[in-house]
Amino acid sequence: MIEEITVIRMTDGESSEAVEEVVEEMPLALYVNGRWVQTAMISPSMIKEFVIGHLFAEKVVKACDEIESIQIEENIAKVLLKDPLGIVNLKKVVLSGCGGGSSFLDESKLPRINTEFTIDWRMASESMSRVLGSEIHRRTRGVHSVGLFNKEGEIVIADDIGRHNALDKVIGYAIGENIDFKETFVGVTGRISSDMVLKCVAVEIPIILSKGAVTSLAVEIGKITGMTIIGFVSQHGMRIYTGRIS
Amino acid sequence: MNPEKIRADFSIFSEHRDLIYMDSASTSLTPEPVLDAILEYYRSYNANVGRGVHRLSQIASAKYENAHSTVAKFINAGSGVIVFTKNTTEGINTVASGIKWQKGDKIITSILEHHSNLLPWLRLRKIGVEVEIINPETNGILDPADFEAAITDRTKLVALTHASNAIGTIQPIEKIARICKDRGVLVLVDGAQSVPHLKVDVEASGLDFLCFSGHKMLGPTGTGILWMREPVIEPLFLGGGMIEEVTLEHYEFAGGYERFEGGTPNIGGAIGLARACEYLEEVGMDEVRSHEERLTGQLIDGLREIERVEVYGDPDPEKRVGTVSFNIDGLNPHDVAHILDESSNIMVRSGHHCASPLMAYMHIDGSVRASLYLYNTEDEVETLLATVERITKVM
Repeated sequence: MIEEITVIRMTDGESSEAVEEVVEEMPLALYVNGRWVQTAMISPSMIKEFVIGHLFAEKVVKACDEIESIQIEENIAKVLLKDPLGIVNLKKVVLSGCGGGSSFLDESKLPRINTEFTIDWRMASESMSRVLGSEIHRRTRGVHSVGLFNKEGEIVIADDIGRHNALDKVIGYAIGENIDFKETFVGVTGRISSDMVLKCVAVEIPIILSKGAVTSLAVEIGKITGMTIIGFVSQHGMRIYTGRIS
Repeated sequence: MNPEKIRADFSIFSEHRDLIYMDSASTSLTPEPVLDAILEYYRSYNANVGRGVHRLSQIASAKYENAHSTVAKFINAGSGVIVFTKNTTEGINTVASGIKWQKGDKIITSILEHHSNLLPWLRLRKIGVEVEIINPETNGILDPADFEAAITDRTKLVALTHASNAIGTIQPIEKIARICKDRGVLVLVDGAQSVPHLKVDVEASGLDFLCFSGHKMLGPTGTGILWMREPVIEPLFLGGGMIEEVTLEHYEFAGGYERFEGGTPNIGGAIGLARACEYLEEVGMDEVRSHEERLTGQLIDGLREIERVEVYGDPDPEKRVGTVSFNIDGLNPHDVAHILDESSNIMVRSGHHCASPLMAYMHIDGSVRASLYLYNTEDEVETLLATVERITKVM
């Protein structure tokens, strides 16, 4: 995840050599049933979780038993579905420029969040602090972090150069652990844009919160789906854009 | 376990309404899910593996690789290498040819062995390898102490069967493997007659090599497995698909199973064998085992009550698989097998069962061998017993 490289540091016009920690980035080509689907730039951790989470969050699959196998070979992830001839014909709509994230969800077919699960402001605030406490985030300032929580606390926190990737990773991890998403929420370090909300909606995570801002389309989707969206979470307060807290 | 539900998966029972198939130790029947898996390969994604970038090759390669993992899981091979072979014979010959033997090395095997686990070792006598043969106790079961006593500093390998293909007795492979490990000797087990019928765990058993055949465990013919804890042997076949790089001056083998699978493998067969493993797991190997134990007890008890019938090997069903050898005094085993087919549609094997030295040791020319599997029923066993009894009365 972290690489040390030599840099020239400039301070008050003076230059000196220094070793800095930078976050690693790698391309991952995703193949499904022998066809290239897309190449994602990701951080080299939790790769299998990323692939599983991505497949679910982008609605390529809806259940684990639709996946026969996943082989990770350096920069390639080969997914074989139980139906090996099924063609993953993805409609690539770029919804957010940052990081080139793309999403294939049809908004007209958005599911509705159907859960009574809520959290209180203290839980939101404490969870956000935990996400921000990610060691790699602290050391490099070069990653986004996403945490998945339930009422008992942290389930998993993932780091990645892209916040969408980090969200896919925690989703993939939770699927492997057979976690019921309806009883969970995510905390993210970056902006809550429509594509972040859509990924949560795809697996029915009812609540997303961030220390950062929220976009208008995210709020619109939140209202349609019944998702709770909370921005600018800090120790002192937060802004609830849609939904409710208890 | 519901045998009727299982029998519905085997179309051969619809083709031959009165068929009583008791020759599974030779080759088992094949259920529809296995046939479907093989046909799906040929119909839907027929392509060579590991050689192409096109999507059909990608799908076939993933399926073929997954077949290795499925078989590994079936024998609890958390480590080591799973090599697809043509059959058990090829697996054993691969090991026999792949070890760097030196004059004076010693191999220990037993008189119980199928020719496949005997001839590859006997041939090594030509290059000065000593081969010692251990005899079983009177119940057809080997005594680990005999192996302990036979092992010398020059012993390189112990090769033995897990279950006798001729008389069905299960051998104490775990105890013998433990002795081998303590003495630094490799142990190879012929699992052709055990892996299809009981849970074989290579990790718990402490084996170094395990060979078995797909066609005896609901898979297609032409498929087998060689599992190696460490790929310490030279490959038997050199050619396509098993190299890392080749120049005229130099070649380097690939790692993993590829090293031992030169040439285009039996792709559809491997996929079929993997499906057979899944099928057996879906039924449950414990279920298969207890069903066979029950039928074996019924068969042996019944045979022993018939005058002039002699049953070979330990009669306790817990100490054997459902391969039951017997003779009717005064009758040739081939004649008995022929009558069983003609009179009651019962398919059994007769003869020396590719274990001629064992037949000589037992002072018999051969035997009738009824071998049971998950699709056999109590009614079928009763029919066999009634037919054998009738034969003893009229002949």
